[in-house]
Amino acid sequence: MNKITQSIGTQTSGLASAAQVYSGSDMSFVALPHLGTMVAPVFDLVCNMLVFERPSLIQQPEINVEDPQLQLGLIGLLNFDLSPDEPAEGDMERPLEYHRSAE
Amino acid sequence: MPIDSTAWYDPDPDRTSIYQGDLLVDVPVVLMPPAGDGPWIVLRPSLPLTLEDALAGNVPKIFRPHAENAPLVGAWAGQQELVLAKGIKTPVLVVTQTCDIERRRFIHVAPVYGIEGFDQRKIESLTANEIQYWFYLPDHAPFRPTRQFADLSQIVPVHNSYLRRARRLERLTPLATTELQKKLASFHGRPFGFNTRDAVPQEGDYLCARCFYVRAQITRRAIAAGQQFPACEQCGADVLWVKFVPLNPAD
Repeated sequence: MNKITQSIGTQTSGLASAAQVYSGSDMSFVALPHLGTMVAPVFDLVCNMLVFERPSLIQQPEINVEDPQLQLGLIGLLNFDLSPDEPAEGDMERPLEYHRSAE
Repeated sequence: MPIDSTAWYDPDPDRTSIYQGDLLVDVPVVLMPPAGDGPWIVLRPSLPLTLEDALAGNVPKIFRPHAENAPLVGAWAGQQELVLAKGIKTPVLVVTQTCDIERRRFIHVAPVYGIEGFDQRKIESLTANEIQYWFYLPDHAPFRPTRQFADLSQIVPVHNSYLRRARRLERLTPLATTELQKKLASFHGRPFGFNTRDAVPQEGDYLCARCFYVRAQITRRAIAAGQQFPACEQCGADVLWVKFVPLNPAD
């Protein structure tokens, strides 16, 4: 388990406060008040057994501006523009080919 | 022969189909941004869904952007990634051969640019159609008052459905289409070889392609790595050394 990656909303019929979802390298866990932590598939099973609606996800900021790498990528994407491939000096003349000599 | 609108553009094009050499607008293109100017931005579904879930059709409510090299993201571990990209609507020249336009799902187009800011030398070379990877598009008053060119080094595939909604600005004449085809053939298919300005990257036997094409002779030399390629005894500095790769090991 590595870090909290998102919260789940409170639109539930049986929960007093928001659940938390944790991500691991190959598994997700859900922590529920009074029910403890469980792996995501078990959470789905509990949702079905208790017949409460699976909570919808809260909209979080789409861009994490605190991540410098993400900011760098976004700036690169926003500033990326089409421009032609400028010719070098040698490109601005008829190219030499096997059937045409330099003379 | 001067390259002008009379020589280059069909004044009464067949409007029922799209042809190779059509100049179109309203076609979006996406070019791959350079690596190093910023990481790819990959999209990950909201937990507990994984990228594999999303790619399998389990669509999450939210996708989150991440830098590809962010911890725990694990970008490019599999064969597919969802990435953010920038699409640009720019005039394009249709490069795919006319018969294939109806048959292929993806059509090759080249972005078209203006000549603003070019110095006289570049304009003269462009308007003579000398630049191997640019195809000159003369102005056509009053429809297109500025000179432009298609950058053939930036050819990209677009789905043919985008061509159906495109608007045609020009159609090349058969003469100009032939010049475009020559340019494409030369750009992608001109002979490759080493000459006296190149260093030998790999020891081996080399053949002079120019001797073969011009003199119908076989000139073969063993050349060591680390030196400049030598001149050919027959062709001099115009040599075109091609690595000899024997089909039969005994050769």
